Amino acid sequence: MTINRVTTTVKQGRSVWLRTGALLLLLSALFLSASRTLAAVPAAGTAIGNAASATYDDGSGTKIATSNTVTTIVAQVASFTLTAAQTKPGAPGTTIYFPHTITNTGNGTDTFNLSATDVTSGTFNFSAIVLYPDANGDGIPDSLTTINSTGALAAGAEFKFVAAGVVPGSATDGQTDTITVTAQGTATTSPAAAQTNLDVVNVSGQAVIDVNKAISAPSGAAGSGPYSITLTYRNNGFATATAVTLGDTLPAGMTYVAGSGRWSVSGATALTDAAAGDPAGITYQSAGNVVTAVVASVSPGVNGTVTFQVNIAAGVAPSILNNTASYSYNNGAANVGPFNSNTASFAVLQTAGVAATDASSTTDADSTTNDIVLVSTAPQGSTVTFDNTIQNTGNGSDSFDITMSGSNFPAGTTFLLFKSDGVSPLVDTSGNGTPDTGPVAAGASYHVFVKAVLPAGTSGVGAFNVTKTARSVLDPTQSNTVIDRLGAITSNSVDLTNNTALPGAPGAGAGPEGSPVTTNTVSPGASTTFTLVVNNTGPSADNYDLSVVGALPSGWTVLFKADGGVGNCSTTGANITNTSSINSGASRVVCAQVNVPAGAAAVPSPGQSIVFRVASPTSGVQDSKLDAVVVSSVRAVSITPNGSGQTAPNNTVVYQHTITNGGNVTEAITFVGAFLSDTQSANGWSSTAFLDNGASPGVLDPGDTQITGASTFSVAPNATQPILVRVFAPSTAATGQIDQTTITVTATNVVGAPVAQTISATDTTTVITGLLQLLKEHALDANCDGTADTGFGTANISSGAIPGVCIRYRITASNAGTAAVNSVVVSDSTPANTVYDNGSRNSTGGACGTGAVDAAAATTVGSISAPACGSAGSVSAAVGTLNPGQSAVITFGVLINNN
Amino acid sequence: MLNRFWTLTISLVCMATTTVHGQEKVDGLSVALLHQKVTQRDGKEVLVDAALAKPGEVIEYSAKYQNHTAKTLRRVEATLPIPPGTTVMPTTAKPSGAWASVDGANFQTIPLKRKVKLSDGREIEQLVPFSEYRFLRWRVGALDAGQSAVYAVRVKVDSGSSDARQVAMSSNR
Repeated sequence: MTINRVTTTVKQGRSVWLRTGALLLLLSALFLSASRTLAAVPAAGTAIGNAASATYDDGSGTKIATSNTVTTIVAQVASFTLTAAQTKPGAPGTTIYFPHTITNTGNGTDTFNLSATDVTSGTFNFSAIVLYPDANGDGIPDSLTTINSTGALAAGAEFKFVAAGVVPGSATDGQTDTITVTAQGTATTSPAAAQTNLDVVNVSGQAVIDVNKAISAPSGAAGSGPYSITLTYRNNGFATATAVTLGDTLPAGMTYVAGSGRWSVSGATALTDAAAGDPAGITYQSAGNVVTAVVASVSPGVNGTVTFQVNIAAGVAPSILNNTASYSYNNGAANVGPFNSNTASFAVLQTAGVAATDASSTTDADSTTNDIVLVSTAPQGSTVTFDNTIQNTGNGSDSFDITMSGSNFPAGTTFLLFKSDGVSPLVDTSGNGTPDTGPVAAGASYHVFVKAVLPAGTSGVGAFNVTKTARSVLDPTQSNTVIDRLGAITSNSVDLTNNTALPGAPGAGAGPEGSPVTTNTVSPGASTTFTLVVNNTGPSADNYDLSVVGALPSGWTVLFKADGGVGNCSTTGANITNTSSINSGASRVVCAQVNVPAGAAAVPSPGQSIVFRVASPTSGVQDSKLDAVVVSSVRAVSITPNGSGQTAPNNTVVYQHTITNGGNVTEAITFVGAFLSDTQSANGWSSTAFLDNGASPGVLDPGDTQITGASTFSVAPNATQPILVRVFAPSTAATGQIDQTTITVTATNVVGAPVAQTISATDTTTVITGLLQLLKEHALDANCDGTADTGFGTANISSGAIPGVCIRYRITASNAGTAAVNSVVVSDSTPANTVYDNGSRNSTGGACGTGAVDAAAATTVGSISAPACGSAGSVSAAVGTLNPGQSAVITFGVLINNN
Repeated sequence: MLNRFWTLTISLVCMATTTVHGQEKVDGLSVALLHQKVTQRDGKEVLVDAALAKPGEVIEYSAKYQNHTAKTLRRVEATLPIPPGTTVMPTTAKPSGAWASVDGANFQTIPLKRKVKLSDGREIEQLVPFSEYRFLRWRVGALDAGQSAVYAVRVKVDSGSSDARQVAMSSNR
């Protein structure tokens, strides 16, 4: 603390009468009041830290941003005060003591050099001038060890010392001399300039009274006591002093204890506080905070004490209470004074105290002051703010470290501390690393804000408690706690509906529903849009990701889009994957566009299920909703082509057809009633249909299955089924007769309500004449005796046809037409690896001419020529004319070469 | 000078409901604080490093707020505390129009006033001493994507001058 003293030097030689109420010497006891103004110099080395902050809204709620911390260290400035210059009378041959106090008014520790010299302009010279320490401040040297320095003196601290001047015995009444007391600071940066006090001794041959004042203790707490104040008076002069008047005005903060006055002469007898009633020789009175004692007579060499008691008032701020007594007397020749005694200092100690409470908290939900700050509920993932009141119950400015402990909040909760504005982070001002409130005046309160950031996805009934401890920086043994309590964490919730917002919208309630809420119909290759409404049914703003649950058929895609502004997806905006923030109780329209690929199979009612889902990435809540998409059926089954052909009577012709399914539904194919009809059926024409599912596609082969009225098969979308229709023209069919064969196929859709469709194809067959038919048959003649071993046939000879054996051929030429055929020549030739055989070999591999020629080439009509036996060549029969229905049979044989 | 928090988890109210304390945020609004000492040389003002300052010297705090998002941030309010041990010089606030507070909860336009009840029961309005101002706040408003704004004020390190202290004198007779 800094104490300024203001003194007025009494000019040499002038006696000043003591007057009640007059102020010649101004005593000031200065102390900092317990007010909000704290502009004292910060101590050297103090770290002034600062961080800025901001709050803002990014569209999803209020956010806080904080800056880096910058620090400034306070440098030392050196300054001090030196009190007090005094003027005293002094008897020759005595030592006069002048008490001084040097106070370090700088903001850092300083050491002050002290010196005292004789001012040479005096009318006498002190025989010695020395400085002595006076730690107890009673104006009397503590020891005879001289000093020339205060030693290290902390900021605000005092050092008391005494300058002693020895008046030589040769000095005479009226002479005067002056001691210059000098003090100088030694701080390295800008040391404080030297200051001086001038102490003057006026030599007096009369009575010389000296008064010292002492307090029984140098320090104590506010509200402590009683302490004794002792005024010691002494006559160092040569005459008796009378009307020795002592006056003491107690500083504010010291209160007089009634009836405590005592005089050394009267011992234990209590002096009355009223003017009258005191023992003989003294008049003592105390009024308010002024004590006055008048000792009638003090002889040379006599000393005495007047003592009384004081208490330190409660609530006095830490400070130094300075108390100086004044005195005057008649020195035998004149009234002299007033003079000052030394200044007795009493340091009111700072006691620290702190209360951390919920009083006047702006966030407390319960109305009782119970040391608990209660927030009833908070949404999951949100930030909860607690306002704690930290009160300085000590008697001086103090800072309080703030720490959090003992939390049973959900794992992942973060606690952040803020200053009383709720947005600036709490910083450390004391340098011990722990954030603190900064200086708080005695009696004042400071609001510390704690923000608990709750983890997403956790909710439940608490109570969740965390303890905040406020600890005095000045006296860490002083601390107090308050509890911040959160009653419950409420969970968010969301509801996904269709078309309209809650209440009562389709799809309300938790999904997925048992049956589709909305069913849209779409054609293959098109898209359909569902109007989704995301309702935030929870207590706080939230945002939700959009998705589809489960797999969709191959080629299906879903795109989420923002609504275009009308609110029903009639127009749409940008593609989105998240709804962005929706406030509590509000809703937002989202458009879900389902794209069905071209060629998609029909899906009739109830359609393809689609489950739409919304899920919050921050709170974890979700809802889903079942909708459906019916893919319309597109049917396009056909049978192609219509054929045309020719045939001879008693002959057949085969037509190819293909059943094609160009739609998106499987068709079940059946053949109903007279599904195959011939316009000339009355004239003997007929037809047969086959599935072309044999070994040789495109031609009628034994593997092809005949189609009957019982036949049924399926044709899937994009699949085909080949069919063959064989038409028979009877032998009575006249040339040019035309028969139309119609095959009618019934197709019924397998998917959806079955509807039978008929499709048909028509083949047109025309009869033509003059048809010569040739039938070639063969048989094995293993021993070449000219006789076939088996009957003739067209089947392959699959065994026995080895080199050396013979083959017999029979060719039948028939006129299948209706008119005679002329100039018929039937030609054949020996196949490769064979030679002509006329049946004369008579043994396997035998030679020609071995036996009789009993299998020469022959024809039943006309003549024939053949190569020589054993030669290759052509066999040619000049048949000539064949009438309608007439046949010619040509036979010949060959030998399979065996060399 | 580190701030310690009870848990080590830092997430940001981020969407930012939490803040990364002491660091500039990259995905929202960032705040960077600069401090410099105001000195005079040849009659001109020179700003120097403020790591060290004597009582009576002037420190200029300058906070830059920047929008790092791709959208406009709205209702931005910038707060600058006035540290204990210093007294604000409100006329140096740039831009002007800052609000001030003694307790961090109630902000009003500068100069702050308060009602004081006299001993005779009358209520008068008094100016609050600048030394009691503990927070300044500016209403920034909207900050477009990528935009930044700077807010500054000067403070004087307290030097214990008599006008700043309340003094009680005891008189003797």
